[in-house]
Amino acid sequence: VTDLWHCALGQVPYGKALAVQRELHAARRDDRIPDLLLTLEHPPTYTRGRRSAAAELPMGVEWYRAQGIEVWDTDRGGRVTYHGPGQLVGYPIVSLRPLRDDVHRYVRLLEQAVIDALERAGVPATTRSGLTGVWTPEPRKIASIGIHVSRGVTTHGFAVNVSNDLQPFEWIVPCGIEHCRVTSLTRELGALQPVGELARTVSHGLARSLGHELVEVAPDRLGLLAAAA
Amino acid sequence: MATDVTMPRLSDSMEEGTILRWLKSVGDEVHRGEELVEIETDKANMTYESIDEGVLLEVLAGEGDTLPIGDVIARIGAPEEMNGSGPARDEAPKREETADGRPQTAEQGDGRQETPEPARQAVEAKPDGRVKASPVARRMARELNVALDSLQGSGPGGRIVKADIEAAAGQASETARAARSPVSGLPSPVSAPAPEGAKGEVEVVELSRLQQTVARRMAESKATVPHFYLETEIDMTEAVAVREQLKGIAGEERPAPTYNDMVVKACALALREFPRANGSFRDGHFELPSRVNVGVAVAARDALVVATIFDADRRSLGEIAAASRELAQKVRDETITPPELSGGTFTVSNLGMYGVTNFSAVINPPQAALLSVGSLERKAVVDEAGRVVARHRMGVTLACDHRILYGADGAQFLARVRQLLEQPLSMAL
Repeated sequence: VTDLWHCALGQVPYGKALAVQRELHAARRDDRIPDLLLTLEHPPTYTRGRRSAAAELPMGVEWYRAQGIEVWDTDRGGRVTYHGPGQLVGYPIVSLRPLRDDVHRYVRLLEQAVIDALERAGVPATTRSGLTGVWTPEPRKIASIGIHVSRGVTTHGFAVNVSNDLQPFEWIVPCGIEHCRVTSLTRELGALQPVGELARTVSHGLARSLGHELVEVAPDRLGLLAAAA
Repeated sequence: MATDVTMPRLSDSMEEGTILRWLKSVGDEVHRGEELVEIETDKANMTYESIDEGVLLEVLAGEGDTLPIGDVIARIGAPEEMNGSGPARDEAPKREETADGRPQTAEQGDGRQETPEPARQAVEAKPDGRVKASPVARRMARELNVALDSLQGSGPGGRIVKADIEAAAGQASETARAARSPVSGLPSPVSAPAPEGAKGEVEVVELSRLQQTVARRMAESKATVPHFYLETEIDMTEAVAVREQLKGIAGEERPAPTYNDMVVKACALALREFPRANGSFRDGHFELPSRVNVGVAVAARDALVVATIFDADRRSLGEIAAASRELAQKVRDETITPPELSGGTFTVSNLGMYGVTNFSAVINPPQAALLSVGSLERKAVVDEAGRVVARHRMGVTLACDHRILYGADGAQFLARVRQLLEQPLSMAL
């Protein structure tokens, strides 16, 4: 059995998280580290995927910045989405070789790990045909997924609304889907939910579905590794 | 011998992929395992590594093109296989960057009018008689019944691209169908006027974001919301008298309320009493918000926006007057913010200032109702004593979503609005 490292980073600005992913991607590619899952939260940020259209940020970038929300263009799949405090963000840096480089299998596997964790928390959720992400039966979108694969190693990942402010979603066209309605774990359960708890269940689920053993590692261990690289 | 690079199968369940970005240009050396192109499939982006060695001879699929697995997207071969002696690099689809630094899509890039004329000529003299066309163009040509060998391509190296097929298909339908003469015109540039017909020249105007939103929401409303309309006429004589008095008191700081402000206030008070008129039908449920937020349709430059007066039921007429003036100014200055454009639970639309006496506006989804307000007119009416008297009258029409607001409820709501406006002092309490 191989390891899945899990490292909880706390709140990290989007740009810094991108740099960390880039470094870990190189390390994973060169087999200097095993598969790894970063869990973290971002300060208020909109991120656009490669194919985001301008209309998905209808008020113009300046307006959003004036609201204190960063805007980033990224190389992940998918369209625009929002990240903010109280949202669980997971970036698995894993090799797809054991999955025979099948990206769809990997996306489904991520979705399932999120669904299982939500179900354990008491919120039934599912995927919807033709749409990625994870939805409540209503349907409201509760988690987004967008990944990038380069040289057989993944970056980016998933974002689950746990207790974050949902209003910034109303200012955009989330995931390019008109009339897409969103929800959070807190909204579904009616009581404030901690992010850390969900991070724990998702990381266990992901380890299980990848056939790995979960190993918690401290951020400074990755820091040392980055410095040594 | 050159090798075809095809749209790779990145997953067992993958059927097609979209070219996001070419990481190499035509003429570049490509090594095995080197990153060649970025492909999107089902929300996953993949950087595809070359399995061939050589020089990138041709790129057959532009950025933004979606192709089925197995379609040829590029060709890799020996440097001497580059056709033509000139720098073929110029003909490659360029990775044009948009103002915000992101690559343009092929739709935008397809109109490569800058392709030098000689390139086209060179292709005409193709020795093997093989037609060069992008896979998308081939598929479209089949579907639209366009003969590929009758076309001149505008793509790199004279390749026939999507735009060429579209242009040919468009022209073919314009001209007599019987004439099977080959279509030979150059593709018309994207923004050029369409060919002159019975309507003269047709200018094609792209919509602004706001106009796109208006178009989408209005079409959605008329298509999915079962509208019905209730009309009535409101006696505004008292309201006119009250407004005259208020105008005497009001100054620069506190402007007198307009008739529309009075309508907003009357609707807000009535909405408080009729929660369904203030609600939404959504996903098979009634949603009944606790706040009464009245939207006022305001004509903006080239578009229409609905500015929201929040908690209009709890604000005084003077506060509503001040708020509506401020919002109208923000709409004109284009400084209005999304929260001020959403969150409305009801809409008032007034065309009275244009002399319109009555009209029926489209409901602003997901709201349950909308009041269309006509002009204030002096009219001869018969009073209680049977005499003909001159009164100020105003025609209004309530549009209702029948899924949440039924006829009798809508009528009672409208009667309450009328009552409040006919006894305007009751709104001051």
